[in-house]
Amino acid sequence: MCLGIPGKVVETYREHDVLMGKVDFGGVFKRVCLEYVPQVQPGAYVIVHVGFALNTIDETEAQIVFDFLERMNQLDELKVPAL
Amino acid sequence: MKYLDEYRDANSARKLIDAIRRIVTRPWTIMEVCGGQTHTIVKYGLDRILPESVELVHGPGCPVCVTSLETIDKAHAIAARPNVTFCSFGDMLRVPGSHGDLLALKAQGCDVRIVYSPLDAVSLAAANPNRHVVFFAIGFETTAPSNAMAVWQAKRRGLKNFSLLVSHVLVPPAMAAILSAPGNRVQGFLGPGHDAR
Repeated sequence: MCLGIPGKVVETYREHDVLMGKVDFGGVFKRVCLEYVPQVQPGAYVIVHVGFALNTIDETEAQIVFDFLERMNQLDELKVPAL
Repeated sequence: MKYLDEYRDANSARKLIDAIRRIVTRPWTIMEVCGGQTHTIVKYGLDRILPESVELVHGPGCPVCVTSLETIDKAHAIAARPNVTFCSFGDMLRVPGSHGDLLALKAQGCDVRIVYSPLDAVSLAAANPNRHVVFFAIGFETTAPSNAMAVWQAKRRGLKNFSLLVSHVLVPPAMAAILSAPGNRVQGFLGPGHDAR
């Protein structure tokens, strides 16, 4: 849980008055809270920690970090099924 | 393997070590904050190939590592209650208390679940009004706002069956305490997670 994982925002929506987004982590899609990066638009890359986007990140760096985490077997939390 | 081989390339590592050796003119004591860093340093012997004048001191670890036995035992007592659905992050459920870990409780039939996000715990409470959902809210500064959002949303949705077992910790006060301790030798920190990126 210590790591922030980069992903690409695919769509944004409001759920129970909270800004949420569908985020693509290398083909795994997660429901992510975007309330702390309210300016974010679909297509942007964000760094996500426990289901919350903490900051935006550029595409190149996002790819480098994601590939690195994947090869370090640090992406297990993405396997937790959505409720 | 891309991005992994590069980091484990012996020639690159040697060049970096040589570069460090060239610029070190006096002893340094550096503390790594995160247990993952400690693991990597010890596993790959980084502490042994650094110049002797650079000493690495193992730091406090992450919120998972530093959760007290007392708090974990509280989590077990709550999770064992028949009306409770207990949830937290996957790695937290694997930390042993006095009587095994939370996944062992799950194996015994208790309702213990792994969630990806604190908001998933809120969704669980909304979907199961007859259960009391307790989220084990651990974390550093980066996780606290997420746990706070879960509380805010649970209140907005009028949920009466959602609680948190809170165990938040702050990093800077721990660093300040170390730096101001009499006899402290630590001169620098390797920050954890996002800070170290």
